[in-house]
Amino acid sequence: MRRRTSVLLGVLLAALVVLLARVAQLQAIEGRTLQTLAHRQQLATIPLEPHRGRILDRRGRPLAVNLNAPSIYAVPGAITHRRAFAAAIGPVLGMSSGDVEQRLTAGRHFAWLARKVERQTAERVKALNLEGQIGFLTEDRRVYPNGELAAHALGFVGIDSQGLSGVELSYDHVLRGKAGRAVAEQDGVGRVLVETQRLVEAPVDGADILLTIDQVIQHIAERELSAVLTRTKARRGSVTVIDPRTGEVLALAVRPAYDPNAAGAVAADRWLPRPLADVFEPGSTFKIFVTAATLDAGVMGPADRVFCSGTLRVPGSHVIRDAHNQKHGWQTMGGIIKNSCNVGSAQVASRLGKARLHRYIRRFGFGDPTGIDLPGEARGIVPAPSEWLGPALQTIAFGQGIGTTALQLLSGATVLANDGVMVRPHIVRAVRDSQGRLVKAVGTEAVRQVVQPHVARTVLQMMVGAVDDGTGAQAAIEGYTVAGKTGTAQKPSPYGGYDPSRFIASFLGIVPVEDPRLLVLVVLDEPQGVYFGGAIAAPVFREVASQALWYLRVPPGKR
Amino acid sequence: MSRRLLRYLDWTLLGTTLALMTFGAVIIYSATQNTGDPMGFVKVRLMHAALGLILLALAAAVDYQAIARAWRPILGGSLLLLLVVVFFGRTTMGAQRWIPLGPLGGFQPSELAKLALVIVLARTLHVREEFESWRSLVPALLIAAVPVGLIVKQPDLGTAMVLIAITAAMLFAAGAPARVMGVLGAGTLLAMPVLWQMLHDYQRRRLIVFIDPGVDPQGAGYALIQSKIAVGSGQLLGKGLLHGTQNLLNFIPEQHTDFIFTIVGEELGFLGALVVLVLFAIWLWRGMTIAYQAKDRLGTLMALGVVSTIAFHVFVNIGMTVGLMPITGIPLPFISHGGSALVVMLMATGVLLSIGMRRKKILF
Repeated sequence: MRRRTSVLLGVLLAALVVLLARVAQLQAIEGRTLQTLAHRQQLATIPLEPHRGRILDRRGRPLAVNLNAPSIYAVPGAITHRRAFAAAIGPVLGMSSGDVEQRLTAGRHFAWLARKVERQTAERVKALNLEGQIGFLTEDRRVYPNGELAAHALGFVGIDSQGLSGVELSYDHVLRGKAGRAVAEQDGVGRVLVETQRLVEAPVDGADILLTIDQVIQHIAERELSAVLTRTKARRGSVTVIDPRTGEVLALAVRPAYDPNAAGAVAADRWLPRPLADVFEPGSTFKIFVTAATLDAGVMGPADRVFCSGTLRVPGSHVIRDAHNQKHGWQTMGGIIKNSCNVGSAQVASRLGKARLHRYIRRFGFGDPTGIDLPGEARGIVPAPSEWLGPALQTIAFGQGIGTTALQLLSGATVLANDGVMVRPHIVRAVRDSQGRLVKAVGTEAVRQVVQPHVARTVLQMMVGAVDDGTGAQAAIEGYTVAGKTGTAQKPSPYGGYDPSRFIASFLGIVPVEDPRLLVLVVLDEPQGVYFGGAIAAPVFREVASQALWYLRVPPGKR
Repeated sequence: MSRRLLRYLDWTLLGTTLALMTFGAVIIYSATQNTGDPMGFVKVRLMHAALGLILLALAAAVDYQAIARAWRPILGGSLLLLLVVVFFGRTTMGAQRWIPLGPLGGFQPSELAKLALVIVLARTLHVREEFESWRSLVPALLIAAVPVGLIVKQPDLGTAMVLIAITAAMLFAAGAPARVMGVLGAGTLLAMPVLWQMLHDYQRRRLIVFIDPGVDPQGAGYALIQSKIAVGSGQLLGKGLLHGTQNLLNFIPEQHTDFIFTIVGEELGFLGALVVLVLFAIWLWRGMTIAYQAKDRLGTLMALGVVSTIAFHVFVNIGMTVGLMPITGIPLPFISHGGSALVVMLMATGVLLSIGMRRKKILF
C-alpha cells in the first residue's frame, strides 16, 4: 500500500514538473513570439482614405466631385445566428439571404455588406438594432453632377474609387492621393475600440484637375450632335473641338453616350472614346494633307493644273470616279480641294510618288498615337509603301486605304492653322493640390514643323474656297472666314471591297482663318438617307462653331 | 471537537486552501472586468466560499469512518441527483448539467459525484487486501460505472474522465494487480469509439483540434490558440494584474471559469503561474502526507482519492490552457468561478483534514 502510494506520489510529481516545464516553455522561450502574436491580433490597422481630387472644366466648373455615402459592414465573429441575421438584413439591402451569408464568409472581423448606399437605406439598417454585429463607414462616392456630359473625357471609377477609364484612369495617380493609417485596439470578435484609435500617418488628399474641356462648348457640341443623329438616324457620331493654337481639347462629344454615375448599366462599347479609339478611312478630308505634301515637296505649284474627265484608269485596271459622275475639267490644286475631286487628287498623288507621300503622311502624325493624355488611343493604320498594291497610291490620295482616328485628323490639321507646326492635343490644363496651389500647368507642346509656313497658309486658303463656294458651303458662318473640307467615305464591307450603302460623313473646319480659334471635326457613322459630309456634317460644324464663337466672344470680321 | 484533534489539524493544508481561494477571488475580479460588475462576481464567490467553509468544518469534525459508514445514502443521493439532471436539468453548451437553485444559481450534481465516488470506493476497497480474482473487483467497478454512465449521457466528457481517473488511482492504491489495471485501461480505450458517438459535434471538434489546432483556427481551435497566446505573452513578469490585453479584449472564452489560468499567466507572468503551481504542490504534498499517515487503510484510500481528484483537475485544467490536454470543461480547483465545484472541493478538503486529524499517534 505504501509502495503504491509512493508510485502515485511520483506520478503526481512528474505531472507537476511537466506542467511547470510547459508553462516555462510558453512564457520564457516562446513568450516573445506569442507576445508579438497577441499584439498583432489586438491592433487593427485602419486605412484612412484620402479624398479623391475633383475634375473641373477649364473655368473651374465641377465635372466630377465626391459625396459622402454610408457603407455597411458586418462583424461575422459577433453574429451567432447567420441565417436569422441574413433574413433580417437581406430584404433591407435588396440582397438575398444566401448572398448575405456568402458575404459573411469574407472574414472573422470584417465583411462588406453594401458599399456606398443611399442614406435612407442606411437609416433602415440602423433601425434593425444589430449593434455590434454591423458597422457603418462613411465613404466618398464619386458623382458626376452633369450626367452624360463629357463622359468620354472624364471616364468613371470603380467601387473603390479607382479610375477605370478616361481622365479618371490616365490621371488616377494624381487624383487618388495617398492613404493614411491609424491603429486601434481590436477585441476578440473584431470590434475596433474607437476610443483607442491613434493616427500613424495622415492621408494626403488627391489633387484637383482642370480639364481643357469647356463645359459650355462641350454642351453645345453634344446638343448639336444629338440633334443630327436624330435627323440622319446615323448609328453614332462624334464632334471634337480643339483649340488649334494650343492643342487643347475644348469638347469631346460622343453619341450614344453613357452616364458615368452608372457606367455599368450599359454595354462596355459605349465607354469607348471614339474620336481617339475608332480607326476609320477618312475619305476626302485626307486630301488637304496630300495637297500640303505636294506643295511642300515642290512637285506642283498652287496654280498648276490637272485634267478631270470624271474617270481615271489606275494600276490594277481599276477606274476611279468622282461623286455624282461629275467631270471637273481642268483643276488647280485649290479646285481639287474646293470640288473634292478624286480624279484630280489621284493624279497629284501619282506625281508625288509613294515614298514621298508616305513620308509626309507619317510627318503629319498618321500611324502614331497623338500622345493625348487619355487612355485607349489607337495608332491608326498606315501601310508601308511596299504594301501599297494596285491603285493604293491613288486611293490614299482621297483617303481610302488608310486608317486614322478623328483625333489624328485634328492633330494633323493643327499644322495648317499654325503655319506648318503641329501641336499635340491634350485634355488636362492644370493640376492643383487640395489646398488650391498650382502643382502643374500644361502648356502648348509643338511636335514638329511639318510643312513650310506658306504651304500651310496656302492650303488653308484653298479650304476657305471649299466653304465659300465648294462642297462645304453649308459650313459658312456669317461674318467669319471658315476653312473646311468635307469627307464622305464608303465603309469597307465585311465581305471585301466597299459597302455601297454604308458611309462615314465628316467635316473638318477651322475658324476664324485669320486667327484660328476653333478646329472642329464632325464624324457621322452610317447616316440614313442623305449621306454627304457637305450636306449633313457641315451644318453641324456651323451650329457648333457659330455658338462657340459667340460664347468665346470672338469678334466677327472678314479680312 | 477535542483539543487533541485540533492539535493534529493540518494548518498548512488549510492555509494553502485559503490562499488559493483568495488568489482565485482576485483573478475572478480581473477576469470579469468586462462584465461591468466584477465586484458582483467576487461577492457571489465569497458566498460560495462561506458555504464551502462551513461544510469543510462539518466534514472535518465528523469522523471519516462515520462518513464511510453512511456510504449507502451518499451513493444513493448522488445517483438520484444525477438522475434528476438527466430528466429535469438545465442545459448549457448543449449539455444537461444543472439543477436550478433560484438565487444561488444552480447546482451541478456531477461535482458532488466526484466526492461521493471517492468515499464509496474507499469504503468498498478498504475491506479487502487482495484483488486477485475478478469477482472481487465487481462491486468497485459497478459503483464507478453507474455515475460515469450517467455523466457521459449529459454528456460531460471532462467529469467522466475525472471519475475514471479517480477509480483508476484508487484501484491502483488498493493493490489491484498490474494485469487488472492493464485490462481496465484497454477496456476504457476500446470504449472510446462508443464514447465518441455520444459526444456533441463541438466536443469532437475540440478533440480534433487538440491534435492539430491549425485545422480550425477561427472555430474550435480558437480557444486553444488564444489561451496559449495569452499565457505565453505574459512572459516572465506578466502584463500586470487587471491589465491583460487578451483578457480585456475578450480574446479568451470562459475566462473566469475553465480558462482562468490564462489570466494568471497573462497578467502575472511565469512568476504568478509558479506561485499557483507551488501552492498546489504544497496542497498535494500535505494531502499525500495525510494519506501516508492515515491510521487505517480506509483513511489512506479516501485521502488518496481526494488528492488524486484535485491533482487530476489541476493537471487537466492547466494542461488544457497550455495546450497539453484537450479542451474539456474542468474547473481549476479553488480558483475557477463556479459554486458547486468550490463547495465540493472544500468539503473534500474537510474530509482530508478529518483523516489527518485522526491519524495514529507517531511514537518516537
